[in-house]
Amino acid sequence: CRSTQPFCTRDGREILTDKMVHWTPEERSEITSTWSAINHKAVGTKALERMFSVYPWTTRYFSTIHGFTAEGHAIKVVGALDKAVKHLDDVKTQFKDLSKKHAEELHIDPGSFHLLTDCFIMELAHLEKCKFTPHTHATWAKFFKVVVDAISKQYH
Amino acid sequence: ESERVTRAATMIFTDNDKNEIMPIIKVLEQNAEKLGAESLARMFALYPGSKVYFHFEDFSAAGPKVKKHGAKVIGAITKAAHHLDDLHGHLEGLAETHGKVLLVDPQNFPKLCQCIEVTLASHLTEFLPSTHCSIDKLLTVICQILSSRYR
Repeated sequence: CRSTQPFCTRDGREILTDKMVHWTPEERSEITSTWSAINHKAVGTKALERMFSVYPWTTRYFSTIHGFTAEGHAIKVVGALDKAVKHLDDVKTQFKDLSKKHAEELHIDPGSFHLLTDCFIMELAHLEKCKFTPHTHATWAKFFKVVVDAISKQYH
Repeated sequence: ESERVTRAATMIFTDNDKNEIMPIIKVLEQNAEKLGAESLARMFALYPGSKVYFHFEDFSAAGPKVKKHGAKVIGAITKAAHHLDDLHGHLEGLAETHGKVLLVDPQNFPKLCQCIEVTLASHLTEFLPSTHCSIDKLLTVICQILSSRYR
């Protein structure tokens, strides 16, 4: 009986099956059109600053970075998100090195990634206002879940 | 039955928090049905499993039962905001109801709170991080109290 679930062989290789993220045309359209219409750096900076205010323990990760600014870091974050938007079917591969870096160098708790993406969602809601319907919200929640999964993937 | 309990303080509200919270509470009070229904509709859209607790024909923000329940939830939150000095005592009844009767999985509470915050962000002209932070403190402690009587 054929299974469509991915599974690992004993030596850790993941056997590829058809378990890929499925995006509807509507979801793709919403993500790409909204992303192209917003000021990435401004939204990214606001999301980071919101995260630092609402979840102050996250500031600890950045406190020793010489010359750190929210804006400077936002540029890196939205650069990665831009890659994700442009490769919706392949975010895991695109984020492989980034995930390794967060796991092995930066030692960010993977349980914390959603704190930043939740703040991105807040900024999008605040920007888009009544356009950010429950349906649109669900699309973006799905996108950011895919992003969080991808950046968490290389943790062991 | 008498029972010795220790009320552990889980959140401290400064005067600044109160100044941030109360205008938002006023908006919620004046739009309880609309904002409550939208918050629930967001939760049902993002977390379809949360629908298991309700027997609604229509889970959208326009659904009559969603509106009624939304108004109830927001009403309870805004009432609680006026009792910050004794939140534990004020919410004891609701905590018992959720913990012993409704048996809602407490993991759902923060999910609904997030949806309330997104609803506020999408309606308010301004929802600054400082306001968001104070509101999040209020909603977090309400979630904690509602989760406190299950065991």
